[in-house]
Order: sequence, then C-alpha cells, then structure tokens
Amino acid sequence: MDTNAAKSLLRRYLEGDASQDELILVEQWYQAMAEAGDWDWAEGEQQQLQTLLENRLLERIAAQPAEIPSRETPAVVRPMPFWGKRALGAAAVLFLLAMGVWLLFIRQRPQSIAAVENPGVGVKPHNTAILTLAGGKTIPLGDSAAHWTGRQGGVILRNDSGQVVYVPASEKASDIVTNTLATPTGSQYRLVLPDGTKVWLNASSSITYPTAFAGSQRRVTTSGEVYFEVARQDQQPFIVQQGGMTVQVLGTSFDVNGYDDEAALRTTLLTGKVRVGWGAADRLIAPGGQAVIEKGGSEIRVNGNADIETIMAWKNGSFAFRDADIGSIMRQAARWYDIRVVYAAKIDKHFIADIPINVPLADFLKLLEATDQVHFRVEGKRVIVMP
Amino acid sequence: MAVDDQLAFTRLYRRHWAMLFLTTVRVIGSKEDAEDIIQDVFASLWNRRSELQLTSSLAAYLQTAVKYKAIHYIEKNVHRRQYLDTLNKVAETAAPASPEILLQAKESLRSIQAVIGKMPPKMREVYRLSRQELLTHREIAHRLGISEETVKKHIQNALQLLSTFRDR
Repeated sequence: MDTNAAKSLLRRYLEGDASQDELILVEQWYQAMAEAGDWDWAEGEQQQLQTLLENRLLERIAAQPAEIPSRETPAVVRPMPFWGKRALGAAAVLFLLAMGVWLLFIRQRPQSIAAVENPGVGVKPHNTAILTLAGGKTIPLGDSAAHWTGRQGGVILRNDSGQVVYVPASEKASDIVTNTLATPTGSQYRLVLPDGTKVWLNASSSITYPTAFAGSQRRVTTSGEVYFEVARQDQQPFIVQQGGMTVQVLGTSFDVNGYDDEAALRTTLLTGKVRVGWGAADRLIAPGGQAVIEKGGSEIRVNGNADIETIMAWKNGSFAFRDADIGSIMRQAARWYDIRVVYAAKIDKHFIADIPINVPLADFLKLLEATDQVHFRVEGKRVIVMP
Repeated sequence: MAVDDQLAFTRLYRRHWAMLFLTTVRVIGSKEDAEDIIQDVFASLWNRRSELQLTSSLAAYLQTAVKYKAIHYIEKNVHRRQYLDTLNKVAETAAPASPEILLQAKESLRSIQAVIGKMPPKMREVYRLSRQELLTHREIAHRLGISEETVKKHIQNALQLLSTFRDR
C-alpha cells in the first residue's frame, strides 16, 4: 500500500465509510503499533510528567472563558453533569453507573420476548426543587445551591446535596409557619421534617408542611408521589392529606401516589401501620399492602400483596414497568422528561421493563422501540407515539 | 468552576492519563504530539462534562477519543516510514481478527454510525449517496431534485459533524 492508499484508508475509517475488512485492518494496525512501540517511561518520568501536564491542563481549562451552567429545567431532557458535587469518593465510582443487564418483554397474545442489554451509562438525574416559604417567597434549590443555611421563624433550614433539613429551634406557636417543597419534572428531592420524618419527593410532586409540629397531630399535604419514613411519635399521629385521601400513621414507611393524571390514589405501606381515609371509608393496611382509591368512587380497595420493589423503584433510581400499558409508561415518562405525549394510534400492548431514570429521553424511547411494538417521533417537546 | 468538579476531574486525569499517554507515544512516535493529543482529549472532556452521554465506560471513551486523534494525526503524517511499514506488514500477515479487534471495529463503526444517524435525513441521504454509492455531486443533485450547491453544502456539513466527533 502506498501513501495515498493509506491516507484514503484512514480517511474512510474516520468518516465511517470503511468496510468491515478495512475497519479490522486499521484496528489491527493500531494495536500492532501500540504493542511494537518501543517507548517506555524513564525513571521517575511518569510522576514528573504527570505533575507538569496536570498543571498545564488545569491552567488551560482555567484560561478558557467561563461557562454559564444552565439552571432551567430543559425543554427536552438535556443530560445533566455526569458528575456532581457529591460524586466524589473514588472517581472510578462515578462511571460505574451501568445498571447491568435488564430485559424488556412485551406481552400481547401470544407472548413474545425481546431482550435488550445494558443501556449503559446515562446521565445523573438532577435534584432541583422549589421551596416556598410562608408569605410566598420562593427559593430554588438544587445542586448549584448546595450547602446554604437559613432561618425561618423558629427553624433552621439546611440545604445540602438534594435534601432540605429542618432543625427546630423554637416551639413557640407564633413562630410556626407553612412551607412547601415542590419538584419540577425530571427531578427528585428529599426533605427532613422538624420531627425527623424523612420525605422523598418524586418528580412533579410537592409537600406542604409546618415548620414545627405542635399540637396533637402532625399534618402535611402532598401531591404527586411522596415516600415517607415517619419518625415515631406515639402521642402525635402523622397525617398525610392528598386529594381527598387521608393517611394516618404512627411511625412507619410508606409511599403515597396520587398524580392528577392517574385514575387512582395509592398508598403503599412498607413498614408499620397506616390507616387510610376517603370520605366516609376507612381502612387499615398492613406492611406490604396497598390501598387503592378510584377517584370517581367511594371505596378503598386493599391489595395485600403489593409489588413493593416495583412501586418503590423510583426512589431507587429506576422506572419499573410491569405489564404496563403505554399510557401509564408515557405518563411516568412525562413527569420525568418534561414532554407532551400525543398518540397517533391506539397501542394495545403491555410492557415489562426496568429502565434507569438517568437515561436520556432518546435512549428511553429507543429502548421501548426495540420491542418493535411501539415507535416514537420526537418534535421538540412533543413525543408522538405510533404503533 | 466548582472546586468539587475540578477535584473529581483531577482524579480522573490521574487515573487515566499515563496509560493513554504511553499508548499514544508508541503509536504515533512523538512525545510532544502525544502530549497534545492527551491534553486535547481531557480539555474536551472537561468542556463537554455537562453534555456528555457515555454509552460505555469512561476509560473506553477516553481510549476511543485518543485513538481517533492518533489516527487523524497519522493520516496527516502518513508519509512517515514507520506507519506505512507497519501497515503493510499487518496487511500482508492478514491475521484473522481477534475477538477484541472485532469488538473495537464494531465499536468504531457504531460510534460513527451514531453520528451519521443523528444527521438530518437530507444530509444523511446526500452523504450516503456520495460515500457509498459514489455518486458525483451532479448525480446526487439530479437524483434528489436539489441543486449541486445544496449537495455540496450537505456534504460539507456532514463532514463537519464527523470531524467534530472525531476531533472532540
């Protein structure tokens, strides 16, 4: 091969035009040169060079014009930094976010199976929320506003790595005010209430609560999907209100799900004991149980064997779909990816899948498309669902 | 630039740079130019840290980025004896591809196809007709009912996209 042929070969490799044989040839060549190359570190050279090059690199970076990080919720999911302020520890850990193998099945009649492997590393979900103080003042929270401490009424608030913590400083009734913490689409946030109760907010959710729990009950109001680990306080039952549903707890961990666009309100109990109220109806649920309230109806249905893992997948970084219809899947997607979903035709299929929540929208859709039972077209913020 | 980001980045650098440097020097045969390549790759990584989507490990990403830059470098300097000699030797030996090599080849192809796949349909079509069916600009213009000027622009843009990917 002469110079021109070689040049042409490399050009085709770099432009994606090479044939399989040519690709192999170039890869083999690269490997051969890497192996045959007879250069190696001189004594102490590596350490020396490392320091030198590292400094040069950091200088070079510092000399670049500063970037303005985007704080807004993206119109279509824009991947967030693939490492955040918290993600220190070993740098190696940052990139081992691969969720391993997962399987995507579809069920129709008859059964067919499609397997998709390892969607790989996606993006780190961002944690942002808006805190609304009594009096209406709003404070945006997020990775970029880490570590602030504020005082409100008789309470000290600390915002730290995706979590707001309330530390009571006064029990005076006059000091107690109401705050609201809300998450936008595509974001989760955590909260520790003044009694120590831990709260996880899924996307598009909110919780309204007092800055201190005085009185005979601890009452909060929620919307969307919120998970609680309630601090035990026997003399002061903890009460969650969502829609017309009330959930009364003593000390326990449970998930409340009641998005506006879902047909039912669900409370799933993990540990402890909970009493769910709806109008005149009233049911006690045991751990592992789920109370389901159809919004148009008047009764509470209790399912004793809730699929806890699937229901709590969001808190553990995953979408979990079990025999889910496309509507349910896309409603969840819409809370995470800030999209508007439009259906070109009715899709009659059901899906079983586990998808990490940090996967960009394009990949999320691609994974579903791999079943060949549904297809998508994305136009800006609109996602069109087609058979 | 947050201190924490920089700290994480520095750790990354320390973890990966030596291996990449070693390989690059051996492949292209120049320490200074290898330095440039490694620095460029890391600087680019830093700049793109908010938008990068990795489909495999970071090490793999860095190795591929460095490989592309190295091959680009060689393409520009291919008259140098050492490259041609090795190339011809490898071609003559015609060894069957090891699984590792096959994987690399597949990976390279996939990365490029991904870039091509992301091109707007018209651009992609023009590029394909040009590169795979080897049509002239005039033939493409005629086939698609557009002007030769437009064809030329599409190709330029396509190459620009690919070179951005390649030179990142």
